[in-house]
Amino acid sequence: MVMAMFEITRHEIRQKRKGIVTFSLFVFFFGIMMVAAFETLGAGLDMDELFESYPAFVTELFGKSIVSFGDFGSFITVEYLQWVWYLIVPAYLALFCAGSIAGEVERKTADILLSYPVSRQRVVLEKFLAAGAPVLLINGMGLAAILVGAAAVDVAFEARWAVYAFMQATPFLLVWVGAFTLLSVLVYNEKTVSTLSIGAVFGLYVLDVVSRLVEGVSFLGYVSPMHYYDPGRAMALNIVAWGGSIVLVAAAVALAFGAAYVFTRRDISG
Amino acid sequence: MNIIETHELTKYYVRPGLKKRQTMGIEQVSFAVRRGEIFGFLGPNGAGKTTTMRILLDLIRPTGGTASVLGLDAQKDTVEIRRHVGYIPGEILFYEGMTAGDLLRYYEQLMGAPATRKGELVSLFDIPLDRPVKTFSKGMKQKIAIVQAFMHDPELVIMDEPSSGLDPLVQQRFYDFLLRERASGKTIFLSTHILGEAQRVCDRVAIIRKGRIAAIEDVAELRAKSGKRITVTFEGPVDEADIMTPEVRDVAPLEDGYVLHTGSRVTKTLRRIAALPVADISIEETSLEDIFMHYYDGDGDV
Repeated sequence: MVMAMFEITRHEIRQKRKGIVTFSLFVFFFGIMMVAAFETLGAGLDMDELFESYPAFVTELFGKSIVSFGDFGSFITVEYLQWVWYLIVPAYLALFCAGSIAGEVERKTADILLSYPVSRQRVVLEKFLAAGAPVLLINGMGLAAILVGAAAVDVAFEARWAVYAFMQATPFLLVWVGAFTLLSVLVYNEKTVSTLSIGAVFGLYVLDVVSRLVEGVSFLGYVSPMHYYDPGRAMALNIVAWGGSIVLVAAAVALAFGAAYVFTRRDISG
Repeated sequence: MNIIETHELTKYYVRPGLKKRQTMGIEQVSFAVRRGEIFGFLGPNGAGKTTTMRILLDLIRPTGGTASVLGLDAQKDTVEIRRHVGYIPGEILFYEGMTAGDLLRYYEQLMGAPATRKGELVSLFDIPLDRPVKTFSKGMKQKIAIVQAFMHDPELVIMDEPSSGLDPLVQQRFYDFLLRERASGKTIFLSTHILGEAQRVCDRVAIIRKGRIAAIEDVAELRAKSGKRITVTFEGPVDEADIMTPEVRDVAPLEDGYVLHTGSRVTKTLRRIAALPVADISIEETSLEDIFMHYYDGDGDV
């Protein structure tokens, strides 16, 4: 056997290929739709004036790092990137990852899997890597939607800001994958893990918002992955800083190895 | 070197909850399986058979005691052990969305070595490789499980209730298959709650009940202890003396008949009964429970 590596990763991707492709296409078409929305709304409507009339915290809530709604990068950040990458993609990854270990143990397919010469660590790490496939494809589709869309509606937009935004999105999403994988080895119940995972996505999103809006609790933000990834910085403000991404990479690796460690210690209930 | 060896293997399951509660899985289980034999773990459901097997494969960890497989520590060297062991679990579930062929190929990749006997076994057990696994009956899934366990030609195969789900004809073919495998030098460790199965294929059995081993015996001795259970009712009153023969080991009265436990010979007893006004009769193999009652005391200690 030549390819004696990553069989579990490849198997996992193959098993979930339909969902991966469907969701990625959704991400692409949603992106195209948002670019079209900018063309229709953005230039004409003065969203900024509208926003000025709202209390400060609403502006904070939506406009984490934006220039103005008339700016393509800002518009796409608020209407596309924040919704999809902060909430929808992590929710999809939650469902992707919940079944990976908890589901296998629950469904007892783990019994035969672990009767083969594969270590517990290898099982966890290969399944973690498997989620890398949808992460890369989704980010690729998002980037494609923005670039294709921008070219189609003839908006002046420098591609590299979008490239940076999606490069930084990768460790952000991998932290979620790490967290979900850890949950998946702690609780051998797929439904519970998916519920907790999706709860965490929304909960930590709210925590990030609260940390920015409420006086004196900004430290709460440190727990939330959203604190370390802000697509608006690259897309709208044209600032590229890699500090947040480095923290996220470290966190993702720590979570993946943490999950491997936990799985190595547990009984596989039969 | 014994193929499997355990010393005082113990497993307590911790029940989650505020008060730390434990249930006993197995306690002080010690036995050895020799190379080239078919060794059976015989006991009722819940006796601890599955627990023991899962410890050997490091699916669960013991609370106490040691286990070794192929001379290696069952916990520390588990990955190396699994290169040479095939396993058929008690409950067989496969991945959805795969054909039988895909599944076997995946397992072959996981072993990291060619499955030299895959073709032979696929024909022997008639596996339709192109059919999706989710369309298979329980019996067919069991057959795929057998193929994946043997296709790498391992030294040892561990099987948990392997013939459950197989129809009687396939069961017989499976037993013949096991006997041929043993003849070619394989060691087989299986568990069952069916006395007849243990007698048919095993060389030696460990009788396990409520987490403890009651006895380890050659199958010949087991045969000597088992026999028939005859439940007969009569149309009129019949004296116990009228049906007693040297074949009968035990007799218990019923309202209108008797339950007799005999050895394997029943000719004299049947002749006696046939001479009497029989209302109804049923003849069964001695059950495992019967053997426990007669030869091991109630809670499974010898």
